[in-house]
Parts: sequence; structure tokens; C-alpha cells
Amino acid sequence: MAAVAARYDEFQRLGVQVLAISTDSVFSHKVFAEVSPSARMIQYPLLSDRSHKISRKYGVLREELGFTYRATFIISPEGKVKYVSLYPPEVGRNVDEIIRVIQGLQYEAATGLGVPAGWRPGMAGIQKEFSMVGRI
Amino acid sequence: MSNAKETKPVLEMPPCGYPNIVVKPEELAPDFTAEAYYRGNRVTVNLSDYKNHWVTLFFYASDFTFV
Repeated sequence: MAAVAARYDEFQRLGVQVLAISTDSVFSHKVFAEVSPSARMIQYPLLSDRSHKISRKYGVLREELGFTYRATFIISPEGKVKYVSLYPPEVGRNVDEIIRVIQGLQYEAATGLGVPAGWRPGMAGIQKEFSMVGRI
Repeated sequence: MSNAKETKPVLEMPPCGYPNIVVKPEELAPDFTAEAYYRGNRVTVNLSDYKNHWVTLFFYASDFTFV
């Protein structure tokens, strides 16, 4: 979660609330945040899902292990899930890509334009009118 | 009933009744309330508190792990 903490200012600039959650207790979270050099920089809430109810609701609980997949959900202001990813347990997240997806979603919400593959802020969007079908 | 065979449920539901199927894009994010650690304090977080904001929810396996 330190990779997210390192980019926290960008999430803030985009107006995105960051929440991290695991099946650990708040007691564990406290000590983790106090003693782990990488966790000390975490500025966002660490949520505890000790009952596993939330992890199961989101479908990311590994029942046999009692903890979750490394999963990311981007949720819109209307409360809708817009993006989901489940990473392999062996590999950490690409925070760049998560920020890019948020920027793309916000761009689409503001302009109504489609967001092409590899889009970055500053690049053009795509008109989605039916007359454009077959012209791109 | 002597010939009745014992039947097993095809799909066993996890204890709290949710099927543990990942929530997908365009579905409503299930609301929840959770205890949290935030800047030295023990607080309560409701997802609904963040209505009208973009939220990124990161599930991670465990405190004190390496990745």
C-alpha cells in the first residue's frame, strides 16, 4: 500500500477518496502504520474487515485463506463500480494505470467522449456518434 | 421415502449469504460500515459517506507483508 501512499497527492488532486481494506484488525493496522517504514507514510484510512463480510460482498475473499485478493475498485460519485482488477498475489499494483483509468473516467464524464486505448490526459477523445461508426 | 437418496446442495453458499462473486463494472458498489485506523484514531467508515465523490477501494492481503 506504500505505492499508493507515494502517489496520494495525485489522488487528492483528482478529488478521489482512497480507502484501503484488509481482513486484519484495527489493532494490527495501528501497529502496522506506526512501525512499518513503508506504512508510516500512509495518509488514508485503513479499514478492518475482520468478519470477512465486506470482502465477501465484493467477491474478493479467498475463503480458504481468510484474506483477499489484491483487488482494486474505482467507484463513481453515483456509487457505481466503474473498474475492477484482481492482481496475481505475486505482483504489486500499477498505480499509474489506476490513476490513468480515473483520469479517463473523469474525462468521459466531463466531455462525453470515448477514451481510446493508451489515452493520457491531453490526448484527444473519440466522438461516439453513430455517424462515426466505421470511420475510426 | 425408503428410496430417497441424500441430496447435496450443488452450490454451497458462504456463511453470510453472499455468493463471493466479484462485483463488476456498472454494478452498484455494495455499501458497508467498517472500523478503521486513520491518523492515530479508531474511526468508523461508511462507504455511503463518500457518495458524490470518486472512491478507490484497495483490498490488500495483509499488514506487514512485502508486496
